[in-house]
Amino acid sequence: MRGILLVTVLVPLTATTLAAQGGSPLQQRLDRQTFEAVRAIMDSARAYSVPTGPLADKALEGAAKHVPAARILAAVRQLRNELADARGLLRAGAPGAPLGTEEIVAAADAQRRGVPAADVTQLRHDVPTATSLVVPLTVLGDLIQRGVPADQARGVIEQLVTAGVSAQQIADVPSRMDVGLKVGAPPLDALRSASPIPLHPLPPTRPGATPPVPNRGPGHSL
Amino acid sequence: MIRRAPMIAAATTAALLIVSTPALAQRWQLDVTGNRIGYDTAGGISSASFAPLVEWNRPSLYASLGGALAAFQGNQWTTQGHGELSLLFTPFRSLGAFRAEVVASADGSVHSGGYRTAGTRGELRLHVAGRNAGMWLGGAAATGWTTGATGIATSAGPTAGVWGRQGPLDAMVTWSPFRLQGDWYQQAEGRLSTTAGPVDLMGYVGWRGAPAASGLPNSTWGGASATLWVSRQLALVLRGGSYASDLLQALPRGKYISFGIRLSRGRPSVWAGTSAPHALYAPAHGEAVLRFHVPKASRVDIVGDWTNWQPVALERASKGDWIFRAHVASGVHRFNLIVNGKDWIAAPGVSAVDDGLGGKISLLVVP
Repeated sequence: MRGILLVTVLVPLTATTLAAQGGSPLQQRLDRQTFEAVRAIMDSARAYSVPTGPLADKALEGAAKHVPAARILAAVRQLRNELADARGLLRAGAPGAPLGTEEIVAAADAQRRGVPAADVTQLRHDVPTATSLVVPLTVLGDLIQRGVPADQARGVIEQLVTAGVSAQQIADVPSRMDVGLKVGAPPLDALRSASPIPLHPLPPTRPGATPPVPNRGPGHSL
Repeated sequence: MIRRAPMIAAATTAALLIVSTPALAQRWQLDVTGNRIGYDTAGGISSASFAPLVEWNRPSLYASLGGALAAFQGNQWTTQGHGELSLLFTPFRSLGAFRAEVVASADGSVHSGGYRTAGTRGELRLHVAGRNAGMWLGGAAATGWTTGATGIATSAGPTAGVWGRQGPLDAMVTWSPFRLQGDWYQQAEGRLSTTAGPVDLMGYVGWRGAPAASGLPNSTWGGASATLWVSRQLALVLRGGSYASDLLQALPRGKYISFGIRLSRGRPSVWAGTSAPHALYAPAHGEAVLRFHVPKASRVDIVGDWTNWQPVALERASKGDWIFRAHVASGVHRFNLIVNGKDWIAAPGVSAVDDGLGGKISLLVVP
């Protein structure tokens, strides 16, 4: 009872104190000059419909890591540009479709992990717009990092989504695929084994796509 | 020690250094051990041995080259060499679960008394692998020669094997009967290995059934080894047990115990725990329970966008694992771990991207 009373008193008191200090976590953790610079970057992002939440997070991350202000600002600017690019790629794939912040972030991360811009756009184009691309884009990055050529990895993701495979099942594919890779299967074979549904034949790899890099596992000799 | 032994040792070391450059060899090791051996054909004898090994491990190719030089009491010595080459490929594109393997090996030995032996072996295997288990069927043929024999002995027979894994525990059983000089011999072997922190443990057993016409007894063998990795390059190795006689090269069965050090370019990959990093996926509904392996930490905190970049202490579990339980909103989240309150790291085994701030950051996806 005493604890509840304490919480009842302290929570409003703390909130009032924070409000009196002016502020958002961003304002509290950055010096005034850096805060103003970050806010300017966020304003410029807002003007182009780029989500600003991830930018504020990046600044908070920099502050938590005790990174110099100049580096924080550079990272926030870079992220703004990446999100703007990612938004443009998704928009090109489905011009009138609603676009969520999380999908834009996932697309930017996918690009950082080696997913070609064309595949981000194509995935948005081919997958129903009601389907969130957060998991498909992240898994696409995982598959490419496992040596699956980008266009074929995208083809598999599209098959899974189209077949109604749940996001949770799609998220399980990379770890299931590792089982095949560890016993020496080429990435595409390991991916076929990991798929929760039988896959249709995949399109041939386009020139310049990521070459398969199979691993080798135990069981080859005693 | 006889006069030629140091030359052989120097030549072996030089060869090891030449071929073990990073671009060519994936791993090398050198064991220097003291041994006590008892042969069926002789009493107990002490020896010191020097055994280099070089391994190449490529996506579809495995090769190893190893040797041993052992100096015994009474100026006796023996040298042995072994090489193996294995090629792995997919024979039927439409049956991706099947993998074929061709294995070829050769070995030989030279002994101070002038006795020499040599042998070769070839095997073809067809593998099928599941999530945590696999098996193969195949056939093998081998030859053997000794200075005391009038010709080359040959053997051939089918082989089969199954393997499985459960956590860090790997098990394998093989059956390899063979026909030698008109008689069929039955042979089965099993191996169990695991790793616990800095210690690699391995045990093996074998049985060979000899036909009555051969006049040879059935035989069993078994042994174990423990390797304690003091650092990534140095380990202490304790081994003991028995091994089978080599019928093709007329080498006797023996019992042994040995202790020594292993110098290595790196600890061999552990079957469990070598998965490639991928984004961490939490369940879409309910509480996320995330487990991270951070051994030797006294405290681990997680910081991420959902914690407003404020540290949240993880719960300590067993064997260097740390657990985080929380409800996290859908989306792509970024996080780091803070070890012992000071070291920011990307979560082990989880895909990381540049954080734009000079470090790496891990990805957590909640569908």
